[in-house]
Amino acid sequence: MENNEMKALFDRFRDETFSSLPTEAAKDAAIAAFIFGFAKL
Amino acid sequence: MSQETYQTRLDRIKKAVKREELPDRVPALFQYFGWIIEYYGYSLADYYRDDPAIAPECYRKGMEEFGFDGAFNLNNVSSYKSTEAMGGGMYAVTERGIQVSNIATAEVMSENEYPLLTKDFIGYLRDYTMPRRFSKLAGGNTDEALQALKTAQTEKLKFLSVVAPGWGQIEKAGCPIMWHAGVLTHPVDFLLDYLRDFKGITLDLRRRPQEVLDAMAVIQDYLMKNVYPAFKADPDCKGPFWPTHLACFLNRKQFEKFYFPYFNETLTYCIDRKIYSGLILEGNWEAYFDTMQDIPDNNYLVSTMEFGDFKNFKARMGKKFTVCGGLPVSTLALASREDCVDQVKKILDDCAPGGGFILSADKALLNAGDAKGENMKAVMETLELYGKY
Repeated sequence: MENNEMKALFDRFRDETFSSLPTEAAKDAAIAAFIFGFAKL
Repeated sequence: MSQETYQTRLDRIKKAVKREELPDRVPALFQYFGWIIEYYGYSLADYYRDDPAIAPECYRKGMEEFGFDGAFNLNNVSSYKSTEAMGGGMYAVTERGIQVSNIATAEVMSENEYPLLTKDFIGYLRDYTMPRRFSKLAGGNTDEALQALKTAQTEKLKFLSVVAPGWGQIEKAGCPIMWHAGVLTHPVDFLLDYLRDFKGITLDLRRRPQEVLDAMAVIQDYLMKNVYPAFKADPDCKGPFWPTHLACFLNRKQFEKFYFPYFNETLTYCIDRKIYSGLILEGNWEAYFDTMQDIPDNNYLVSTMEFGDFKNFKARMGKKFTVCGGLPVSTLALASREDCVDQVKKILDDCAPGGGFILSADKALLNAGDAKGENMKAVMETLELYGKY
Protein backbone atom coordinates (compact mmCIF):
# COMPACT_ATOMS: atom_id res chain seq x y z
CA MET A 1 0.00 0.00 0.00
CA GLU A 2 1.29 3.45 -0.84
CA ASN A 3 1.32 5.95 1.99
CA ASN A 4 -0.77 8.35 -0.02
CA GLU A 5 -3.55 5.76 0.19
CA MET A 6 -4.03 6.67 3.84
CA LYS A 7 -3.94 10.40 3.07
CA ALA A 8 -6.61 9.91 0.43
CA LEU A 9 -8.72 7.86 2.85
CA PHE A 10 -8.51 10.46 5.59
CA ASP A 11 -9.17 13.28 3.12
CA ARG A 12 -12.46 11.55 2.17
CA PHE A 13 -13.27 11.03 5.85
CA ARG A 14 -12.45 14.66 6.55
CA ASP A 15 -14.64 15.98 3.76
CA GLU A 16 -17.60 13.74 4.55
CA THR A 17 -17.51 13.88 8.36
CA PHE A 18 -16.29 17.35 9.20
CA SER A 19 -17.88 19.24 6.31
CA SER A 20 -19.94 21.37 8.67
CA LEU A 21 -16.87 22.97 10.20
CA PRO A 22 -16.48 26.56 9.03
CA THR A 23 -12.88 26.64 7.80
CA GLU A 24 -10.31 24.36 6.22
CA ALA A 25 -8.08 24.94 9.23
CA ALA A 26 -10.84 23.75 11.55
CA LYS A 27 -11.34 20.62 9.45
CA ASP A 28 -7.61 19.93 9.47
CA ALA A 29 -7.45 20.38 13.24
CA ALA A 30 -10.43 18.04 13.71
CA ILE A 31 -8.89 15.30 11.62
CA ALA A 32 -5.53 15.73 13.36
CA ALA A 33 -7.27 15.43 16.73
CA PHE A 34 -9.03 12.27 15.54
CA ILE A 35 -5.74 10.72 14.43
CA PHE A 36 -3.91 11.79 17.59
CA GLY A 37 -6.72 10.50 19.80
CA PHE A 38 -6.96 7.09 18.18
CA ALA A 39 -3.20 6.73 18.01
CA LYS A 40 -3.47 6.30 21.79
CA LEU A 41 -6.06 3.52 21.58
CA MET B 1 -26.33 13.90 49.36
CA SER B 2 -26.68 17.64 49.65
CA GLN B 3 -24.90 20.24 47.59
CA GLU B 4 -23.59 21.62 50.88
CA THR B 5 -21.91 18.32 51.61
CA TYR B 6 -20.32 18.35 48.16
CA GLN B 7 -19.17 21.92 48.76
CA THR B 8 -17.80 21.07 52.20
CA ARG B 9 -15.73 18.28 50.71
CA LEU B 10 -14.57 20.41 47.81
CA ASP B 11 -13.56 23.23 50.14
CA ARG B 12 -11.54 20.77 52.22
CA ILE B 13 -9.72 19.55 49.12
CA LYS B 14 -9.14 23.08 47.82
CA LYS B 15 -7.52 24.17 51.07
CA ALA B 16 -5.20 21.17 50.99
CA VAL B 17 -4.27 21.92 47.38
CA LYS B 18 -3.79 25.66 47.72
CA ARG B 19 -1.81 25.37 50.98
CA GLU B 20 -2.80 28.88 52.03
CA GLU B 21 -4.87 27.83 55.04
CA LEU B 22 -5.48 24.56 56.81
CA PRO B 23 -8.60 22.53 56.03
CA ASP B 24 -10.72 21.21 58.91
CA ARG B 25 -9.07 17.84 58.39
CA VAL B 26 -6.87 16.00 55.94
CA PRO B 27 -8.97 15.09 52.89
CA ALA B 28 -9.06 11.61 51.38
CA LEU B 29 -9.14 11.14 47.62
CA PHE B 30 -8.75 7.84 45.86
CA GLN B 31 -8.53 6.60 42.31
CA TYR B 32 -11.15 3.93 42.82
CA PHE B 33 -13.28 3.71 39.69
CA GLY B 34 -12.86 -0.03 39.14
CA TRP B 35 -12.92 -0.82 42.86
CA ILE B 36 -16.16 0.94 43.63
CA ILE B 37 -18.00 -0.64 40.69
CA GLU B 38 -16.93 -4.15 41.64
CA TYR B 39 -17.44 -3.52 45.37
CA TYR B 40 -21.13 -2.94 44.68
CA GLY B 41 -21.45 -6.12 42.68
CA TYR B 42 -21.08 -4.97 39.09
CA SER B 43 -18.38 -5.76 36.59
CA LEU B 44 -16.53 -3.18 34.56
CA ALA B 45 -17.77 -4.96 31.48
CA ASP B 46 -21.31 -4.09 32.61
CA TYR B 47 -20.30 -0.44 32.69
CA TYR B 48 -18.46 -0.28 29.40
CA ARG B 49 -20.75 -2.49 27.37
CA ASP B 50 -24.20 -1.84 28.65
CA ASP B 51 -24.87 0.57 31.43
CA PRO B 52 -22.76 3.67 32.15
CA ALA B 53 -25.39 4.70 34.73
CA ILE B 54 -23.84 2.12 37.06
CA ALA B 55 -21.01 4.51 37.90
CA PRO B 56 -23.03 7.34 39.48
CA GLU B 57 -25.00 4.82 41.51
CA CYS B 58 -21.82 3.21 42.84
CA TYR B 59 -20.15 6.53 43.66
CA ARG B 60 -23.27 7.71 45.51
CA LYS B 61 -23.28 4.53 47.59
CA GLY B 62 -19.54 4.82 48.17
CA MET B 63 -19.74 8.40 49.42
CA GLU B 64 -22.48 7.38 51.86
CA GLU B 65 -20.83 4.18 53.08
CA PHE B 66 -17.23 5.33 53.34
CA GLY B 67 -17.32 9.14 53.44
CA PHE B 68 -14.58 9.73 50.90
CA ASP B 69 -13.96 13.37 50.07
CA GLY B 70 -13.91 12.81 46.34
CA ALA B 71 -12.15 11.08 43.47
CA PHE B 72 -8.60 11.89 42.36
CA ASN B 73 -9.81 11.11 38.84
CA LEU B 74 -11.80 8.51 36.98
CA ASN B 75 -9.81 5.95 35.10
CA ASN B 76 -9.98 3.66 32.09
CA VAL B 77 -12.59 5.69 30.26
CA SER B 78 -12.51 4.86 26.59
CA SER B 79 -14.88 4.09 23.73
CA TYR B 80 -13.90 0.52 22.96
CA LYS B 81 -16.65 0.25 20.32
CA SER B 82 -14.78 2.87 18.28
CA THR B 83 -11.60 0.86 18.13
CA GLU B 84 -13.58 -2.31 17.56
CA ALA B 85 -15.20 -0.64 14.54
CA MET B 86 -11.76 -0.14 13.04
CA GLY B 87 -10.75 -3.71 13.72
CA GLY B 88 -8.23 -3.40 16.48
CA GLY B 89 -6.62 -1.14 19.01
CA MET B 90 -4.56 -1.85 22.07
CA TYR B 91 -7.37 -2.46 24.50
CA ALA B 92 -10.16 -4.95 25.04
CA VAL B 93 -13.04 -4.97 27.49
CA THR B 94 -13.11 -7.96 29.80
CA GLU B 95 -14.92 -8.64 33.04
CA ARG B 96 -11.94 -6.96 34.76
CA GLY B 97 -12.29 -3.73 32.81
CA ILE B 98 -10.30 -2.32 29.93
CA GLN B 99 -7.19 -4.42 29.51
CA VAL B 100 -4.26 -4.25 27.14
CA SER B 101 -5.43 -6.79 24.60
CA ASN B 102 -2.16 -7.56 22.90
CA ILE B 103 1.02 -5.96 24.12
CA ALA B 104 2.62 -6.43 20.69
CA THR B 105 0.20 -3.91 19.21
CA ALA B 106 1.79 -1.20 21.33
CA GLU B 107 4.82 -1.43 19.04
CA VAL B 108 3.56 -0.09 15.75
CA MET B 109 6.62 1.97 14.89
CA SER B 110 9.94 0.55 13.78
CA GLU B 111 13.20 1.97 15.04
CA ASN B 112 14.21 3.38 11.66
CA GLU B 113 11.06 5.50 11.33
CA TYR B 114 11.98 8.33 13.70
CA PRO B 115 12.83 10.70 10.82
CA LEU B 116 9.38 10.12 9.32
CA LEU B 117 7.69 10.96 12.61
CA THR B 118 9.84 14.03 13.10
CA LYS B 119 9.16 15.31 9.59
CA ASP B 120 5.35 15.12 9.91
CA PHE B 121 4.02 13.82 13.25
CA ILE B 122 0.30 13.56 12.45
CA GLY B 123 0.99 12.46 8.88
CA TYR B 124 3.22 9.70 10.20
CA LEU B 125 0.56 8.45 12.61
CA ARG B 126 -2.00 8.54 9.80
CA ASP B 127 0.08 6.81 7.16
CA TYR B 128 2.02 4.27 9.24
CA THR B 129 0.68 3.50 12.69
CA MET B 130 -3.09 3.75 12.07
CA PRO B 131 -3.19 0.96 9.46
CA ARG B 132 -0.88 -1.18 11.59
CA ARG B 133 -3.06 -0.83 14.69
CA PHE B 134 -6.47 -1.01 13.03
CA SER B 135 -6.91 -3.88 10.60
CA LYS B 136 -9.86 -2.38 8.73
CA LEU B 137 -7.66 0.53 7.66
CA ALA B 138 -4.87 -1.69 6.38
CA GLY B 139 -6.33 -1.96 2.89
CA GLY B 140 -5.94 1.75 2.28
CA ASN B 141 -8.50 3.99 0.63
CA THR B 142 -11.44 1.59 0.48
CA ASP B 143 -15.14 2.09 1.15
CA GLU B 144 -14.86 -0.40 4.03
CA ALA B 145 -12.08 1.64 5.62
CA LEU B 146 -14.04 4.87 5.20
CA GLN B 147 -17.08 3.29 6.83
CA ALA B 148 -14.89 2.02 9.68
CA LEU B 149 -13.66 5.57 10.35
CA LYS B 150 -17.20 6.95 10.26
CA THR B 151 -18.46 4.28 12.64
CA ALA B 152 -15.53 4.93 14.99
CA GLN B 153 -16.41 8.63 15.08
CA THR B 154 -20.12 7.92 15.61
CA GLU B 155 -19.40 5.49 18.45
CA LYS B 156 -17.01 7.94 20.05
CA LEU B 157 -19.64 10.69 20.07
CA LYS B 158 -22.28 8.24 21.30
CA PHE B 159 -20.02 7.11 24.13
CA LEU B 160 -19.24 10.66 25.18
CA SER B 161 -22.92 11.62 25.06
CA VAL B 162 -23.67 8.92 27.63
CA VAL B 163 -20.54 8.86 29.74
CA ALA B 164 -19.87 12.57 30.13
CA PRO B 165 -23.29 13.26 31.72
CA GLY B 166 -22.54 10.33 34.01
CA TRP B 167 -19.50 12.20 35.31
CA GLY B 168 -21.79 15.09 36.24
CA GLN B 169 -24.08 12.67 38.02
CA ILE B 170 -21.15 11.37 40.07
CA GLU B 171 -20.51 14.94 41.20
CA LYS B 172 -24.19 15.42 41.98
CA ALA B 173 -23.94 12.30 44.13
CA GLY B 174 -21.58 14.34 46.33
CA CYS B 175 -18.23 13.30 44.90
CA PRO B 176 -15.90 16.01 43.53
CA ILE B 177 -13.88 14.61 40.63
CA MET B 178 -10.66 16.57 40.77
CA TRP B 179 -8.17 15.86 37.98
CA HIS B 180 -10.17 14.49 35.13
CA ALA B 181 -10.19 17.37 32.65
CA GLY B 182 -7.81 15.68 30.23
CA VAL B 183 -4.36 14.18 30.22
CA LEU B 184 -0.89 15.69 30.31
CA THR B 185 1.61 13.50 28.50
CA HIS B 186 5.38 13.38 28.44
CA PRO B 187 6.48 12.94 24.80
CA VAL B 188 8.79 10.04 25.65
CA ASP B 189 5.86 8.35 27.39
CA PHE B 190 3.87 8.82 24.17
CA LEU B 191 6.63 6.96 22.33
CA LEU B 192 6.68 4.26 25.00
CA ASP B 193 2.96 3.77 25.41
CA TYR B 194 1.69 4.04 21.87
CA LEU B 195 4.51 3.59 19.37
CA ARG B 196 7.64 1.76 20.50
CA ASP B 197 6.67 -0.16 23.65
CA PHE B 198 9.04 -0.56 26.61
CA LYS B 199 11.75 -2.65 25.01
CA GLY B 200 11.84 -0.45 21.92
CA ILE B 201 12.10 2.90 23.66
CA THR B 202 14.70 1.77 26.18
CA LEU B 203 16.91 0.51 23.34
CA ASP B 204 16.30 3.71 21.36
CA LEU B 205 17.49 5.89 24.25
CA ARG B 206 20.88 4.18 23.96
CA ARG B 207 21.16 3.53 20.24
CA ARG B 208 19.56 6.64 18.70
CA PRO B 209 19.25 9.26 21.43
CA GLN B 210 19.22 12.26 19.10
CA GLU B 211 16.41 10.80 17.00
CA VAL B 212 14.39 10.25 20.18
CA LEU B 213 15.04 13.83 21.27
CA ASP B 214 14.01 15.15 17.84
CA ALA B 215 10.80 13.11 17.92
CA MET B 216 10.06 14.25 21.47
CA ALA B 217 10.38 17.86 20.32
CA VAL B 218 7.69 17.54 17.65
CA ILE B 219 5.36 15.59 19.96
CA GLN B 220 5.76 18.19 22.71
CA ASP B 221 5.12 20.94 20.15
CA TYR B 222 1.87 19.25 19.10
CA LEU B 223 0.78 18.84 22.72
CA MET B 224 1.57 22.43 23.65
CA LYS B 225 -0.20 23.89 20.62
CA ASN B 226 -3.14 21.55 20.19
CA VAL B 227 -3.93 19.73 23.44
CA TYR B 228 -2.93 21.80 26.44
CA PRO B 229 -4.67 25.05 25.41
CA ALA B 230 -7.96 23.29 26.24
CA PHE B 231 -6.98 23.22 29.92
CA LYS B 232 -8.09 26.27 31.85
CA ALA B 233 -7.63 27.74 35.30
CA ASP B 234 -10.41 26.41 37.51
CA PRO B 235 -11.30 28.08 40.82
CA ASP B 236 -12.34 24.66 42.12
CA CYS B 237 -8.74 23.41 41.70
CA LYS B 238 -9.80 20.81 39.12
CA GLY B 239 -7.76 20.12 36.01
CA PRO B 240 -5.88 17.54 34.00
CA PHE B 241 -4.24 14.33 35.14
CA TRP B 242 -0.65 13.24 34.41
CA PRO B 243 0.34 9.59 34.65
CA THR B 244 4.12 9.29 34.25
CA HIS B 245 5.53 6.04 32.92
CA LEU B 246 9.14 5.83 31.76
CA ALA B 247 10.80 8.09 34.33
CA CYS B 248 11.17 5.53 37.09
CA PHE B 249 13.11 3.22 34.75
CA LEU B 250 15.75 5.84 33.90
CA ASN B 251 19.01 6.49 35.64
CA ARG B 252 19.52 10.02 36.86
CA LYS B 253 21.56 11.08 33.85
CA GLN B 254 18.88 9.78 31.48
CA PHE B 255 16.18 11.46 33.58
CA GLU B 256 17.94 14.79 33.27
CA LYS B 257 18.44 14.39 29.53
CA PHE B 258 15.24 12.75 28.35
CA TYR B 259 12.58 13.35 30.98
CA PHE B 260 13.02 16.37 33.19
CA PRO B 261 13.20 19.12 30.53
CA TYR B 262 9.73 18.50 29.05
CA PHE B 263 8.36 17.44 32.44
CA ASN B 264 9.39 20.80 33.88
CA GLU B 265 8.30 22.72 30.77
CA THR B 266 4.80 21.25 30.97
CA LEU B 267 4.50 21.81 34.71
CA THR B 268 5.70 25.39 34.30
CA TYR B 269 3.12 25.88 31.53
CA CYS B 270 0.42 24.75 33.97
CA ILE B 271 1.74 26.82 36.87
CA ASP B 272 2.00 29.97 34.75
CA ARG B 273 -1.64 29.56 33.66
CA LYS B 274 -2.94 28.54 37.10
CA ILE B 275 -3.95 25.13 35.75
CA TYR B 276 -4.34 22.71 38.66
CA SER B 277 -2.98 19.28 37.80
CA GLY B 278 -2.91 15.87 39.44
CA LEU B 279 0.28 13.86 38.88
CA ILE B 280 0.98 10.19 39.36
CA LEU B 281 4.71 9.66 39.82
CA GLU B 282 4.92 5.97 38.95
CA GLY B 283 7.67 4.12 40.77
CA ASN B 284 10.03 5.81 43.22
CA TRP B 285 11.25 9.30 42.21
CA GLU B 286 13.37 10.03 45.29
CA ALA B 287 16.57 9.81 43.24
CA TYR B 288 15.30 12.74 41.14
CA PHE B 289 14.34 15.07 43.99
CA ASP B 290 17.53 17.12 43.64
CA THR B 291 16.89 17.69 39.93
CA MET B 292 13.23 18.45 40.60
CA GLN B 293 14.10 21.40 42.79
CA ASP B 294 14.12 23.38 39.52
CA ILE B 295 10.32 23.04 39.33
CA PRO B 296 8.95 26.43 40.39
CA ASP B 297 7.44 26.60 43.86
CA ASN B 298 3.68 26.72 43.33
CA ASN B 299 0.22 26.01 44.69
CA TYR B 300 -1.26 24.29 41.64
CA LEU B 301 0.19 20.78 41.52
CA VAL B 302 -0.85 17.68 43.44
CA SER B 303 1.18 14.51 43.21
CA THR B 304 1.13 10.93 44.32
CA MET B 305 4.19 8.68 44.27
CA GLU B 306 3.91 4.91 44.08
CA PHE B 307 6.86 3.94 46.25
CA GLY B 308 9.28 5.64 48.61
CA ASP B 309 9.38 7.52 51.87
CA PHE B 310 6.42 9.89 52.01
CA LYS B 311 7.86 11.88 54.87
CA ASN B 312 10.87 12.57 52.67
CA PHE B 313 8.57 13.21 49.68
CA LYS B 314 6.73 15.96 51.54
CA ALA B 315 9.87 17.38 53.14
CA ARG B 316 11.73 17.64 49.82
CA MET B 317 8.88 18.33 47.39
CA GLY B 318 6.23 19.97 49.56
CA LYS B 319 6.71 23.39 47.96
CA LYS B 320 6.31 21.89 44.49
CA PHE B 321 3.37 19.56 45.10
CA THR B 322 0.56 18.94 47.51
CA VAL B 323 1.57 15.44 48.49
CA CYS B 324 -1.11 12.81 47.99
CA GLY B 325 -0.98 9.14 48.96
CA GLY B 326 0.68 7.18 51.73
CA LEU B 327 -1.47 4.07 51.87
CA PRO B 328 -0.02 1.03 50.11
CA VAL B 329 -2.60 -0.86 48.09
CA SER B 330 -1.09 -4.04 49.53
CA THR B 331 -2.06 -2.86 53.03
CA LEU B 332 -5.61 -2.04 51.96
CA ALA B 333 -5.93 -5.38 50.20
CA LEU B 334 -4.17 -7.79 52.52
CA ALA B 335 -3.48 -6.32 55.95
CA SER B 336 -5.69 -6.35 59.01
CA ARG B 337 -7.97 -3.53 60.06
CA GLU B 338 -5.55 -2.79 62.93
CA ASP B 339 -2.62 -2.53 60.51
CA CYS B 340 -4.60 -0.06 58.41
CA VAL B 341 -5.34 2.08 61.47
CA ASP B 342 -1.64 2.09 62.36
CA GLN B 343 -0.67 3.00 58.79
CA VAL B 344 -3.09 5.93 58.70
CA LYS B 345 -1.81 7.22 62.06
CA LYS B 346 1.78 6.97 60.85
CA ILE B 347 1.20 8.76 57.57
CA LEU B 348 -0.75 11.49 59.35
CA ASP B 349 2.13 11.94 61.80
CA ASP B 350 4.58 12.10 58.89
CA CYS B 351 2.71 14.28 56.41
CA ALA B 352 -0.30 16.08 57.91
CA PRO B 353 1.47 18.80 59.94
CA GLY B 354 1.30 22.14 58.18
CA GLY B 355 -1.26 21.03 55.58
CA GLY B 356 -0.52 20.30 51.95
CA PHE B 357 -1.36 16.62 52.33
CA ILE B 358 -4.14 14.45 50.93
CA LEU B 359 -4.58 10.87 52.05
CA SER B 360 -4.80 8.33 49.24
CA ALA B 361 -3.64 4.93 48.11
CA ASP B 362 -0.23 4.73 46.47
CA LYS B 363 -1.81 3.31 43.30
CA ALA B 364 -5.20 3.21 41.63
CA LEU B 365 -7.69 0.72 43.04
CA LEU B 366 -8.56 -1.10 39.85
CA ASN B 367 -10.59 -4.03 41.11
CA ALA B 368 -12.45 -5.19 44.21
CA GLY B 369 -9.44 -7.21 45.33
CA ASP B 370 -7.34 -4.04 45.69
CA ALA B 371 -8.93 -3.10 49.03
CA LYS B 372 -11.09 -4.78 51.63
CA GLY B 373 -14.22 -2.79 52.42
CA GLU B 374 -13.60 -3.11 56.16
CA ASN B 375 -10.09 -1.72 55.68
CA MET B 376 -11.36 1.29 53.74
CA LYS B 377 -13.85 1.94 56.55
CA ALA B 378 -11.04 1.69 59.10
CA VAL B 379 -9.00 4.19 57.08
CA MET B 380 -11.79 6.73 56.90
CA GLU B 381 -12.78 6.30 60.57
CA THR B 382 -9.17 6.76 61.64
CA LEU B 383 -8.82 9.81 59.41
CA GLU B 384 -11.93 11.31 60.98
CA LEU B 385 -10.49 10.76 64.47
CA TYR B 386 -6.86 11.69 63.93
CA GLY B 387 -6.84 13.77 60.76
CA LYS B 388 -8.38 16.94 62.15
CA TYR B 389 -6.37 20.14 62.31
